Amino acid sequence: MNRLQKIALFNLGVAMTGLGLQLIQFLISDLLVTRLIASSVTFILCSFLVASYIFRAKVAKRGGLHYDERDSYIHKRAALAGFITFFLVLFLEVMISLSIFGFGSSITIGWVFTIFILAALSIFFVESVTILIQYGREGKGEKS
Amino acid sequence: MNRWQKIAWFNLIVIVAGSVISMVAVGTLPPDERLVPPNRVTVVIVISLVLVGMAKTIFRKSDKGVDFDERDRQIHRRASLFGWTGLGLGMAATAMICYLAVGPRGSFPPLALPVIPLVGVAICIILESIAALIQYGRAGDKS
Repeated sequence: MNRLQKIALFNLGVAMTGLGLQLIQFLISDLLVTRLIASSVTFILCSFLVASYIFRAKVAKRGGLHYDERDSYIHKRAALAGFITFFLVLFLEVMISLSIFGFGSSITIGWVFTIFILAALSIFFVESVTILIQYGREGKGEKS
Repeated sequence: MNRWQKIAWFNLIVIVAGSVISMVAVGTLPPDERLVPPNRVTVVIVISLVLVGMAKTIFRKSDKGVDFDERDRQIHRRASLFGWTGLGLGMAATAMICYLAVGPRGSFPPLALPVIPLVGVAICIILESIAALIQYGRAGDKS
């Protein structure tokens, strides 16, 4: 497993934890303490994801053995898959929100941010899964 | 100008014109009818999206020769990535604008939510078309 696969695996774990927390927050939305804890932990997890993204960008910039044409191709495709998923998840969430709240009611700005955080976490989740799938299960002899 | 440049120009013009007409239509509607579909804004949006969807049918592939090679694939992949990245950033910016507009404890009708993905789609198509046109160059090729 090369360095980029390890980063993808790390991102996948963090994104899954974040998505799980957001789901808990979504289901137990009445408890203020739960919401506060879930939001704080999600914020920290998002910081980890951003840091990992910057680290990957540094590896990509350095090039050489750690990042060749194939890696670039894999990451571009994964990023595209992530952004398309972001849009689809956001669209789905908007439709679910419309059906939950109805047309006559009103929604708070916090709800909009929850929708965005869920959609943003789905980018990292799908991107990581796509990277891992494209590199293959056993790897092709890449070394970190 | 090749077929893909024509499609990019077509998409760009349709979406920019659709956005401008939608904004004008929103301005002419009474405030309580702005977010209640179907209205004239919905019609403009649907027509714009249908036209963009039909672009490949409108600009048909010519019978002679290859019209999509490795270079076109590279250009389209890069343009798509650019467009979708713009979509993500655009939607994040829309959420921040909503926050600034209504404040930290504010609220708004759920019917305003579909506007966010629509703005995102418009940004995505505009940026994708611009990125494709820039990569093909100003003069383009005759393929």
